[in-house]
Amino acid sequence: MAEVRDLDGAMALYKEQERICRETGNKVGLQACLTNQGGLLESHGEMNEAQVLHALALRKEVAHICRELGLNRELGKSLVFQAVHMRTIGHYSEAIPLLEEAYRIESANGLTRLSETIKSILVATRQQAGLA
Amino acid sequence: MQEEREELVKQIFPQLRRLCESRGVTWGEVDLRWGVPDEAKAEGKVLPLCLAEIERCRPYFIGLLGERYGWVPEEIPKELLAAAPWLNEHRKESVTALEILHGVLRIPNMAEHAFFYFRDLDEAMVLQKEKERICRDLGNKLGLIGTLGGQALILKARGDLDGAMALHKEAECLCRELDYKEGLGNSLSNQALILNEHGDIDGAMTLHKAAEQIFRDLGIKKALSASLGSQATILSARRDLDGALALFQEQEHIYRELGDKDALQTCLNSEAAILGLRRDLDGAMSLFREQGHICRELGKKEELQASLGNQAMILKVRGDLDGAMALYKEQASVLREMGDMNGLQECLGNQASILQKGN
Repeated sequence: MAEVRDLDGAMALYKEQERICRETGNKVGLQACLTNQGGLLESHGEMNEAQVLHALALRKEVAHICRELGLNRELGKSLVFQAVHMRTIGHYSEAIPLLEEAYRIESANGLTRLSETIKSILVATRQQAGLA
Repeated sequence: MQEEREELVKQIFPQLRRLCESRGVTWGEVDLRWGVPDEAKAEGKVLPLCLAEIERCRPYFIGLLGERYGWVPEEIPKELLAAAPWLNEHRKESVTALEILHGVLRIPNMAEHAFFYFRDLDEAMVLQKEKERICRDLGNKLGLIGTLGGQALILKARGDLDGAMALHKEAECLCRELDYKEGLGNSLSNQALILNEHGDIDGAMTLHKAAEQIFRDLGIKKALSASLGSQATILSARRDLDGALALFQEQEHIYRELGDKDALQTCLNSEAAILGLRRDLDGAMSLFREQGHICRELGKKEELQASLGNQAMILKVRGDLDGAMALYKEQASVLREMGDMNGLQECLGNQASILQKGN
């Protein structure tokens, strides 16, 4: 077990964690668990469209919970991931407001390196959307 | 409210859990004053976490109130204010007050599910005052020392630290007059705890040391070990890890001598945490293992699962992922038995993280 990654096993455990968090109404735990599931899907390498949509749905729910709980740092990251998935399926104009909000949040948090990265993705996305 | 919490955790909650289990219901307590991680405190997440936990417990809320108003946060995180704008009107209120507002008072239909209980120290104080009057009338100085100490504890519980200190000092004078050394040691220890709360750490250490010497001379081991533990905790907070460890080790030695296994496992946990901070993972592992063994023997599931989690974390850091996984699985099994679903979900996440990252 220690020699190889067992991604299916990991996903099964995250799913059980998700079920418990939903049952007990533990939103903090749920957002962490959904974030990890998203990360797990994204670590598979190239994703097919169904996987992209799944990861997108996970990140959307994470963003929703983060807004509710006021977890701004995690919200910024989930918006960036949503935008990246939107770009992957060619929805450039929908990715732009997500990146703009993420940029605002991360700038306000003083995370200059991350906000600069978001800015460059934003510029590229605007170009792809024909807005630049 | 430490003694009240102890009573609830050790006596009431296990009974409630068993009763619920016998009816096929999973029950678990959520204690808003226990288990908030230090990192969360440092990041100002206490209030967001507490409010989220209250959400999670809806529609139930039980408030057990002592005499303190509670800690007033210097500022409320901006993100939380954005998510819960009502907090803007309550910026100078204590976390306890905000929890009660959020949990009950702002939601009218919570009235049917919310219960509040108040500790009645007033009556206890009336009785102590009467005892004081009788002791003064009779010239019973030993009795007077006892009641002054008792009143001081009530004042401390009410947050009147200066009043409590004054009474302890009066008791101290009487102890010196009577050459009553055990009482003097107790009085000095209690004064040290108050100075510590006041932030006068040096003063607290001086008094603890004086009390320690008295208990050593008298051979009162239980009081000596308590004094050593209080000093070790202060040193640990000051990052004097070597000093803290030495005191905890002496405390450990006393508990072994006294055969006090419950106190011993708490002490081993403190020592292991210090060794962990010093990166002595082998030493920490060995102590956590012994702690786990004692907890198993005493049936202390809460402490056992924490010990297993700590051991797993050490093995994970060392790269022994199989070993870590086995311990996390054991931890999960204890958490399931306890019905601690929050602990269980965290443990599952830790297991998943091992499978995800591999070696």
